[in-house]
Amino acid sequence: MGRYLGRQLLTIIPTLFLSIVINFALLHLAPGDPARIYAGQDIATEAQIEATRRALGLDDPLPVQFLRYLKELAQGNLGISFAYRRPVLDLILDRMPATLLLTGTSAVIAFVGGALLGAAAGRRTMSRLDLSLSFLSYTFFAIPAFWLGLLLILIFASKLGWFPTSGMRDVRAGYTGWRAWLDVAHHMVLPTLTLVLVQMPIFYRITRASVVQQQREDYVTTFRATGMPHGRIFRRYAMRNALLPTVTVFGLSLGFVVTGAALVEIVFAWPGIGRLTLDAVFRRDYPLLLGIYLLLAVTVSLAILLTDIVYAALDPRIRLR
Amino acid sequence: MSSRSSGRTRLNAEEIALLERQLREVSWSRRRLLGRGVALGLAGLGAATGRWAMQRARAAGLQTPTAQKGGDGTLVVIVSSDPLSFNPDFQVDDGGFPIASNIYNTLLSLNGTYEVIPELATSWEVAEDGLSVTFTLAEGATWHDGQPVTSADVKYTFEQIVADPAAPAATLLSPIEGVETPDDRTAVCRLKQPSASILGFIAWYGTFILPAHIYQGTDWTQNPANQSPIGSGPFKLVSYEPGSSIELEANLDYFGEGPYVDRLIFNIIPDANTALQALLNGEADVLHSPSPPASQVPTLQETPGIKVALKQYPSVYYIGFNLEKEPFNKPEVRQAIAQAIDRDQIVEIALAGIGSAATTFYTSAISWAVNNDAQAPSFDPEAAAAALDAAGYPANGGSRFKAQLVYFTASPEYGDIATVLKQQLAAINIDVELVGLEIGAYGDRMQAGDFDIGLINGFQGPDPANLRIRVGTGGSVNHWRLSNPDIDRLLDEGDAGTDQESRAAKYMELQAILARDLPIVPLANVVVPYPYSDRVSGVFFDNDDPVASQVGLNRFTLTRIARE
Repeated sequence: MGRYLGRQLLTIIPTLFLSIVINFALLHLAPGDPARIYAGQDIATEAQIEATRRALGLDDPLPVQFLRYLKELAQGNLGISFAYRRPVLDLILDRMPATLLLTGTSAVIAFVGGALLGAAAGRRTMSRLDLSLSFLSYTFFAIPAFWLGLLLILIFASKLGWFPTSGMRDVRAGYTGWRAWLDVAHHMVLPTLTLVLVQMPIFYRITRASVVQQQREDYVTTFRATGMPHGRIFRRYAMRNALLPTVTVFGLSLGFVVTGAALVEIVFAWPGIGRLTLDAVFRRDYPLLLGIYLLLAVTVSLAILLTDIVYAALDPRIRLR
Repeated sequence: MSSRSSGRTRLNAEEIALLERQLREVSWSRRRLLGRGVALGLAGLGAATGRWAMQRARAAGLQTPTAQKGGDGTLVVIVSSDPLSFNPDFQVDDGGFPIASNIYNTLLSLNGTYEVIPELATSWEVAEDGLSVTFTLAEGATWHDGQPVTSADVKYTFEQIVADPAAPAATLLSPIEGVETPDDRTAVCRLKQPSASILGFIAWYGTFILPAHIYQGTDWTQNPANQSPIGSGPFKLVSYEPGSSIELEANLDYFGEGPYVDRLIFNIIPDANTALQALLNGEADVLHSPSPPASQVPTLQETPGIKVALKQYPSVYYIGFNLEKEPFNKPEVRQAIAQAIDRDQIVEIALAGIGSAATTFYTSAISWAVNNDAQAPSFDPEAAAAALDAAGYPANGGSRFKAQLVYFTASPEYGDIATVLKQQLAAINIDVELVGLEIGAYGDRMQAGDFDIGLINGFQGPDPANLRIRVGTGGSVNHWRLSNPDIDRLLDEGDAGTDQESRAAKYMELQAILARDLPIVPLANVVVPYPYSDRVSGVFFDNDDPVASQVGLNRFTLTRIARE
């Protein structure tokens, strides 16, 4: 197991390096001149643009800039944001709690809910439950998240007044202590619901398909022949096997949790990393974008590693290979 | 809000008014002693304790002072984006502008009609030779850390701005040679050459006076005060939650009139629809930005409890032609295209009637400098078609020529105007291809001259000298590659003039040249809708509000909020 783990860890290093190279190259290839943006599109003269270019360190040739970036990175320094002139790491950490809270919570709920509903539907295909859930899953899968979010705001915040419109806390009240936690929970409901509704269909469909498939397997037929009760076969054997693909997808989606959900964060004015990323794209804030992409590469790699470990623990054939 | 007023019916109206006023006083004086939590708790008590509170208030014998700073109100203002930092001078930061405007002061500011008014400087005098301006600073102005504001702060700020070419105001303030400080309250700006526009630019952008005792001798892009600002303005920073909100509190030592609210909170909401709902749901009092889509404004105007101020900006939607490309280099072709444009239809359809047709070549918001005789060609599609036939571009049943219309997708209005233009030009058989781009790609494209027609708008104030960047040779938004020696000469003469009348003559002559050559064609005036709660008064964006002429743009210094 130890050797297996070590080997998997080693493969992460070239993966990360490759992603750093690709991110750096892609960003600099994209149209848009940061110096022009930061000098002010309307009021900047060419001299101001050149001065800004120098101030941002963009006047050196690309390979020089890349080596400088690598050198800083090797010392654990993600660089200084062009726009905010603050360390990239600080900016990311500022947004991390809100991001993990929203996307993490909704990923878990979507996974658990999707898996349960998928199992229920898959167990009795073509039942009324199965048909209505499948219909709903297609519907929500097809709805754009930002549109659904706005719809929920109009219904539950504007019309019914049950939940606040947007944000993470009531800025006017400025609660402290346990009231502050309740306040955040209250603000979380609509954005979480939005994300859950659009993510759940994926988990639902995978679980359902896999449950249907497992129930046709020979071992299920054999168990039935021995007279084992249907519920026991399903819970102890079929469901466990059926969950494997769902767990895989969940593991991968956890890797993306750290980068938030830009569109939903925008609609609900949620202070997550997704919004920070989108702003950074429009502002051509290269250091900030590189930092966020690197973070994503790391977490996705770790999520894959974690999934591999879980698999290896579950299936001896993998770790022996 | 019904739950809050239930039970109060046991008191008569007069008693309620008295109680409310006195509760306010009690909570106010308590707040200073005990902090906000206690005061809010007290103010939130219902009628059961109301009489007790009223007796106490009477016993305390509190009176209502007439010009008290602060108040018990919290004003929540929606803004669309985070500030990049709290140093408003070293980089372009449109998100930070409205916030800095309430933490810092400029020497002069621009009021609702873009006139230069006093702020930190109470008076100013331009020397006879036009080579210096003497500013007298307000008495009793202090920084939020208690230090006095002096002419040394003005000297530091202006000299720093001019010395850093990356500062947004560096070019605009470049006529400033240096600042002298004969005494603490007098700052003399020496100018390299007379510049009539310098006062307007000092009042505009990136020119907030910074505390020299904090910034002097440091890298102003990295100073810790960029995160925890020390200003001299009517509000002080309490806290900043990135992506969420910025909370300011009243500066009780503010030298000028105001502020009249206790807390000013900027709530950051990037999406226009959400921002509007937050306002309608009572979670905010003023929607500063993002502006609601024009199409929603008529409904908003009918919404109870909401007022909508329509503020004309000194900005105009206009198209410009690529003067280096055929056939747009031909005056008769530009003339024909200009004649094919129905401005009223643009305002009606693309701007949902919010705005007005622009027919002059400088913004009508700055009335002294606009030439009303130099009008854009009026709508006449038949004449336009005939002129194109004569110019050698017959339709012959198909299209005369293709034109690529490039615009920046900053707001939906651009796309809507572009779509209407496409229709209108199709009527005279010009085939328009629409290219909407986000800012980075748009900037590259215009810079490279890869377009036929560009659709833009932009701030043309505070002074017509600002026309230089739009139509002067090599101007930063002169994408059209317009280079006319007469225009350049008039820009120079206009800026060097000292009295408004002779300056206006230069700019009017310039506009006549634009109207003749048509490198650009004005379409519509930019009008920004500001929806806000009807409990709010004293706002800078409503020209019907007397306050709008007294405070600078984006200032909530004199804003009041009535209790529910």
